Amino acid sequence: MNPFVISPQEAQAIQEDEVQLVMALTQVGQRLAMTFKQSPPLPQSGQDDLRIQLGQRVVYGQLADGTIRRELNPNSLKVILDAIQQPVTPGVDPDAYRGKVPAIEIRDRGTVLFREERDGVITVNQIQIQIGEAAEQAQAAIPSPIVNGRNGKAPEAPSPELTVDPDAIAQIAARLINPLNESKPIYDAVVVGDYRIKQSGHHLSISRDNQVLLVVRDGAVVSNQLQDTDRAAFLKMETRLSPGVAAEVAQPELSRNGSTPPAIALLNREVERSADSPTKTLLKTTTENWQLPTLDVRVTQWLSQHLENRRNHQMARAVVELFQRGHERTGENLYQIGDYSLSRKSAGNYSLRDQQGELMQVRVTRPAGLSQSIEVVSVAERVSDFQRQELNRLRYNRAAMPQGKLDVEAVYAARTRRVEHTVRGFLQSHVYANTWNKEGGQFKLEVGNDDLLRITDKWGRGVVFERHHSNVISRLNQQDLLHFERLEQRMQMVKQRTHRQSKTQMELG
Amino acid sequence: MKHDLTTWNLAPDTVIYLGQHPEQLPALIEAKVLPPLPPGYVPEVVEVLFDDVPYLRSVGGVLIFSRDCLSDYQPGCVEYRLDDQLAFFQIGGEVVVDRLGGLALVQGRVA
Repeated sequence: MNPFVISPQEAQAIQEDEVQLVMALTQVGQRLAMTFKQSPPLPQSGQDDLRIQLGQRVVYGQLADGTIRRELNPNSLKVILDAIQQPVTPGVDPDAYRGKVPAIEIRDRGTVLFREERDGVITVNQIQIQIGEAAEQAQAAIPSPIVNGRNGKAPEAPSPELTVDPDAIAQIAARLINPLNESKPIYDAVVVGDYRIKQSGHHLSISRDNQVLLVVRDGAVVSNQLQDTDRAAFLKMETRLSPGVAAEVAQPELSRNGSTPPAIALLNREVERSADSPTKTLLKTTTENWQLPTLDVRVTQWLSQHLENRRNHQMARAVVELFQRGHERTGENLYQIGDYSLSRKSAGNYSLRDQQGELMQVRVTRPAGLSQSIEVVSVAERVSDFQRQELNRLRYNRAAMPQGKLDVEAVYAARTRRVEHTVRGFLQSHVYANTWNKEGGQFKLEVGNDDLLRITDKWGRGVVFERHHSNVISRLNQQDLLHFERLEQRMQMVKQRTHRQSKTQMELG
Repeated sequence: MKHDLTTWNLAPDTVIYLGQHPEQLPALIEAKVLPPLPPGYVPEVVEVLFDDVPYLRSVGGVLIFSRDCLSDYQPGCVEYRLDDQLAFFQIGGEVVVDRLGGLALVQGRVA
């Protein structure tokens, strides 16, 4: 169907005059009705046929209660005139917007003449104003087909093959509520989309419509009612945590020409009116980024990038700490933990690999002072959030122990068994107590029920050995092993001396 | 929907505005009782609406849409929507809804 055409002169006048715009739109409505040979319903007395809606508000026309509203102003007239010059966006299913609030909607006696959706998609345009070359430009500027509206992407329906992995969902939720992994999150509860995420002590929960979907305690799933749709929603949010998504967005359609769009200038003024607050700073930064002369995604995504750097740094710390945990026990340069291998290539250079190859390179330097500096040298693009979280979980799980070569581990296990034997012997045969905690000494030694034996380094490392039944955790390092081997030697010397004395006494007796 | 705006501690002008624009109230009432957005949330789509009409839209941090307006246009209200969620609402100079506090604090800490 050919568009109904309004001349440039009429268009200019319309922009300046509400009456002209209304008349023109009414004419379009009448001509439309004639084209379809429809008999338009007779208007009731006093009833307004034309109805213009901006957002949720009817700005022109009759309301349901009979009130007549006339709120068109020079700016809204301009907005409407600009909008109705746009052609219908190709490839759009108007049904996808059924029931949604429009950006602009113009109706005549119930017939929709024009409708622009909130995401900028034009779903209906029975009007087209031809203003010289502008019309041709508008035609030329028709964007590439958009599949169902938003962002030029097809809607992401959950795949039926998805299997719900509650651990992964819990990790995404944890990152949302506490992105910097701080000891105390900024909030106890947040809401994003349909989901409420709550952190309470060791518990993290996700709920929707007051129904608890997932409860996790210390990383372990306690209750899981997640559906595939929930997983799909959280995986979508996960992509929003990553700057990787920035590369996928459509090319910018906005022409800058070095000038600030009027809407941004207006926004700057409006944001400035509010009282000073962190949010005001955030909004100003956002607006500033939109005004950058180059549309550099890496720059405009600065917040996301900073967070990404921070997460990489956390992962690097996990790599170094886990390596050290293995190295301090057996002194090797290659360890395995879970699906990962950790190695130290040369002084200060560490590498994290999985079965597919290298994931991360880290360099540790010791600048002046006491601190050490951890630098992320490289990160593979394929590093997933799941892997980051898994490494962090291993880092904070003191029972997780990197394993070296089997023969080296066997020697280590034998030496720790000797330490255990030495400590039991020391407590039971030398000090006749279940606990030894000498003031100023490095180690506290304990034995207890259920085969418990615990060695605690009081100089800062905490528990370095613990047996409880068959569960053994050992972080004894080479110095510790030597310490207890010396203790064992002294105990033997005392034992021999005692044995000699008792033998002499027996001979004398 | 009836709602007692006096509990929001708004300036008289803001209350008058909301009284004249009741269509805005349901979304504001809903957003008012919601907890803030997650501090670690980086939205994909940010929209700015003046008088309930979208004027700016960024996707992945890139501004992809800007509606023209008159230089002397003075909107009654400004709204930020993040991935279609009401995140911030301002009437005149008064902030009515602010769910961005956590994001703002995180920005301050990583900046």
